[in-house]
Amino acid sequence: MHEQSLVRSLLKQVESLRCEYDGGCVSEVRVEIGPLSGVESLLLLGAFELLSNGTTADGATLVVDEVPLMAKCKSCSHAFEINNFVFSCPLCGGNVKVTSGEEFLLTSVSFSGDPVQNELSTAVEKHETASAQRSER
Amino acid sequence: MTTTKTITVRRDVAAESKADAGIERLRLGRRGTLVVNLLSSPGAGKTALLEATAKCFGGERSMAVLVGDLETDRDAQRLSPLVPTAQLTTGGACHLELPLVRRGLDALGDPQVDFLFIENVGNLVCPASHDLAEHLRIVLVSTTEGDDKPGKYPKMFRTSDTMMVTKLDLLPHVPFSVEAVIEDARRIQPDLDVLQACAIDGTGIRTWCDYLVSERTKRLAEFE
Repeated sequence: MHEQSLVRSLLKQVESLRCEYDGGCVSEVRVEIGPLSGVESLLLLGAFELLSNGTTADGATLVVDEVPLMAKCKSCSHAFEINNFVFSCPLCGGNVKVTSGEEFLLTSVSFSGDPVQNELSTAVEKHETASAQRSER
Repeated sequence: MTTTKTITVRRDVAAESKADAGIERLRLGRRGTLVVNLLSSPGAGKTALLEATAKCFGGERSMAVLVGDLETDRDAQRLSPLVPTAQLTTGGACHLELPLVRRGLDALGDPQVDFLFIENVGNLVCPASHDLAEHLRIVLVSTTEGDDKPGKYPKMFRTSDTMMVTKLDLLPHVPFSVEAVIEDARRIQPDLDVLQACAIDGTGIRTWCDYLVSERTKRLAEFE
């Protein structure tokens, strides 16, 4: 269940984009995950709903795009989708570089309405403080 | 009328923690400490391997251990008579993160050692996703777990530099093929180094220690 700590990082980035672009309420957050991102879609959605509560992303929809694991051969440059986690080139057997499916990416944030006149001390930070206090105990 | 504005980006959600880990890796690497993250399922023999490592190194190389568990300081009690050890209890969390590692380093007074071992929480899933500023990531697979583990936990094996097969002494009693586990793991990570050991009778421990010394030289060269 490490999705919660990932969602904390995600909410921080969403908040930083909201400040950067002077956005209003966050209405949609879109992310990309792949088979090697270490993120499970359902757990992510649950953690987002829980942790966005009381933040400027409260009520926002989280859209999760699942991308395939893609790679490119370092020897012959063949680009292909990796199936069954076999990380070698199906044409020449060469070593490959993974080009997608390994990361957990924030891909877009939608804002609706006027900029929220809010201070930087958002509920995300409150969550962190509460969590830090819990771990101190 | 409500207006909607969409900002399109491509940002790695873990970018901040990765950058933070990079800074710590640089700091420890520059002063000659190789950070080794040890990962495995519970009971694969991480603590036993560290006990054997401490005995094998003797005074020849200095080491310290940060040991992660959900509860208790049992592993720290085993290791602290041998080497400086700090227990990191996660209170239920399934993996270690860098702030806990830093807390452990502080508890030990930020020791100037050749090797800092981080014994992660026994779990082949979540710890794979967290960079603890290690220079070397090692996954242990014990012969009692079965040789089919790499394919079941691809991220763990894909992100590891080395696989250590442990509990070799039990091979005659369990249906485990060393060749099969190596083949399965190298399908996922073709560059994986493979070692084998038994911490109880000492088989493979000298080779493991020599490997650590040579990896330290190789991996810390880029920080000089």
